[in-house]
Amino acid sequence: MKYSFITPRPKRFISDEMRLSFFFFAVSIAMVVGTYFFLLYKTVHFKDEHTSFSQTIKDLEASTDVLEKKIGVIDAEVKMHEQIATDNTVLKESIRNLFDLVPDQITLTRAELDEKSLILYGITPTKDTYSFMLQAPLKSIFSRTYTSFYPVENGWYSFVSSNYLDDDANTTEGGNEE
Amino acid sequence: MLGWTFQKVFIAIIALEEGHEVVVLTVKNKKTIDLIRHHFEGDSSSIAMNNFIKEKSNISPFFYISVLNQYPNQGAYDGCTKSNEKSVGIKVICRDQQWTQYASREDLANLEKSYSNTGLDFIFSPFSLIEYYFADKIKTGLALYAFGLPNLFSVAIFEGKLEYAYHYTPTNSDLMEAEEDAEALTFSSPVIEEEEEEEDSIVRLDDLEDLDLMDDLDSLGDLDDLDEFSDSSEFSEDSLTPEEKRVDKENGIVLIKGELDRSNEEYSRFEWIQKTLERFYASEQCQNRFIETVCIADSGSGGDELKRYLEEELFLNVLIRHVDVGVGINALAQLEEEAL
Repeated sequence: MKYSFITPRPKRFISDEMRLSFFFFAVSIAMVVGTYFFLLYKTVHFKDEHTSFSQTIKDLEASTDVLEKKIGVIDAEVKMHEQIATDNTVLKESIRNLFDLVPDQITLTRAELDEKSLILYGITPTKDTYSFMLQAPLKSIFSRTYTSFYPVENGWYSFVSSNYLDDDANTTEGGNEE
Repeated sequence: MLGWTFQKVFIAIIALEEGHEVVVLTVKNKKTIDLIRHHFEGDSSSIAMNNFIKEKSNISPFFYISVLNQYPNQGAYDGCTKSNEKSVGIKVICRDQQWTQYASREDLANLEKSYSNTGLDFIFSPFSLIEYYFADKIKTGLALYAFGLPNLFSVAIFEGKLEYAYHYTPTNSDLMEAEEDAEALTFSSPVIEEEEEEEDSIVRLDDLEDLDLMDDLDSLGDLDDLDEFSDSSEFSEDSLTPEEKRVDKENGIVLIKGELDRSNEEYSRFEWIQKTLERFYASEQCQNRFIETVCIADSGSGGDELKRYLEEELFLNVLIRHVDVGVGINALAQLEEEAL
């Protein structure tokens, strides 16, 4: 201060009542604006989430398709597995039955089992032993049976028995070849 | 920031012997819009005055209430030192890094307390008013400057900057002493002599203050107004009834008392100026300089007697400026407000 011993009181543009009113107006406006921005944020956030969820849904749908395809494949594989297992069981049973058919006198050296054929390689003491003890059951099972004998050094016979199962199971043909 | 869009109201409160004078100046963009003055009776700030000030301060949020420090414990000195202001209990204002105004902190606090209802924005020293009223003079040569209100008298000697200052506050003893000293001056008052002769016919003179002073009035003459009153009184004596004469005499005594009070006041001022000069000449600041000019800012309409005293007794060139204290205080407040 150049001349005065005291400094003047601060001067305000507006009275205390007006200040109070302005304060409440300001608070109200701030609340409205705050709410507006909150809702705006929430809307944007919701839209983002919506987009995100839509994308997720699309991805999941795509995944579902892929999974459904995989499930189809797996189902097919399961069916195939079951078929194979059944076939294997049947085959196993068939092999067991086959080996049950082979008498002690005859020794098998090789067996080729196919779906509709059975080729046996072995040694038999005599042709009759083979004919009576092995060929007879084979003929009852297969439609066609062909046997070839080859004499070996000790007087026994090596044989090859080819047995085929036709589609028509009732057809039974047989023949012996030496 | 938006202050220029508002009016500014400057309110000056001047405490007088009989009440307060409030001067309200309304300005906008440095142009005076309104100037109102109002006188309120009472020693302290009255409810009416407070209401008036509050009403005027409601004109604009930018209102400034100013007062003049009229307490005795104040003054001014050459140089600017603030080192001991708090320990001494004073508040100082350094002016132009050359001279200092000071005032008692206690007095300033009392002043603020006195006007606590309205509050104060500025408190000015009488020396600021001297500086303001004689801004065109104090930069020139060596001269004595004085500012007087009925209850204070500040004297300062300037030569470009303040050389010497003294603040006087009249007390009853001062006034009595002045009355006694005034007797030494060869004034005569024929009217008063006549009043003494007709003392018995004057009713209730005891009611008047300082009645005992009336006995010593034979030395207070040469008052033109009193002469005129005397003449007119004599001229119309034949035509007046006793009651009219009594009323006229009472009025005359009041007039005489007023003149007497003013005369005493002016003699006191004469004495204070004389004392100040004596102190200055005796001080180191004098440096063999001689004061030839006295400039007095007087808030009243008088001053002629003081001028005559000074010219005849001390051989000084005297300039008396009749000033409006309220306007001066508001002008200082405007200067302060502009500097904010």
